[in-house]
Amino acid sequence: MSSDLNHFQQTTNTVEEPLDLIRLSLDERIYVKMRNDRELRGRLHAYDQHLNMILGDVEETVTTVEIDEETYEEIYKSTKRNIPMLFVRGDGVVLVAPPLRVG
Amino acid sequence: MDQVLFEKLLIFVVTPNNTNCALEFYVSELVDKCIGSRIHIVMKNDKEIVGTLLGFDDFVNMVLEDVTEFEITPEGRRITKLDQILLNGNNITMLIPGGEGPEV
Repeated sequence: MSSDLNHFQQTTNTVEEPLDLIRLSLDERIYVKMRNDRELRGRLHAYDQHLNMILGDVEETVTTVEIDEETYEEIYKSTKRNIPMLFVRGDGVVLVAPPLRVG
Repeated sequence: MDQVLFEKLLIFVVTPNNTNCALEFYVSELVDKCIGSRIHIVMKNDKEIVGTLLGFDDFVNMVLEDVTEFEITPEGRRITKLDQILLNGNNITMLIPGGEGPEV
């Protein structure tokens, strides 16, 4: 296997910069809000300074708004799908947080 | 998703980790494991591409073969292309290894 993983950056246990907050969530489930009305909930396996991420066991939610032709009301619809493993490109990420808990 | 590929990726991803490893290398190596398999690429606009991954570069531009292109909004219309395409990595949102695309 060609993995030469001597590319470790310095490790510290204190939170010094915003990316350190994400480090605290490694291997935990997180919530990611992305551009284009997408949300992901999954387990964070890896990330980098661009916020590229590798997530496992993911549920993706895409939200769309339809306007009714007659009543002009906004109908919000969301579509979900489950994906076992995926790579997220960092420039689409808007926010990263622990999963939302209700109540 | 292809079970063998999934397990390979999971082992790779889960193994070394309580440090912020330089993910640039992780990403290349993860994508490298997908070469030869089907990959499902979600773009920034409502478009998804499914194909066999032949190769990629540092910017995650990708060369794909046996490609199907899906437009998501108009009831999942399909455009099928063969031979090879070079996909510009700028507009990629997500990569799903072994995926077969949106259900249509």
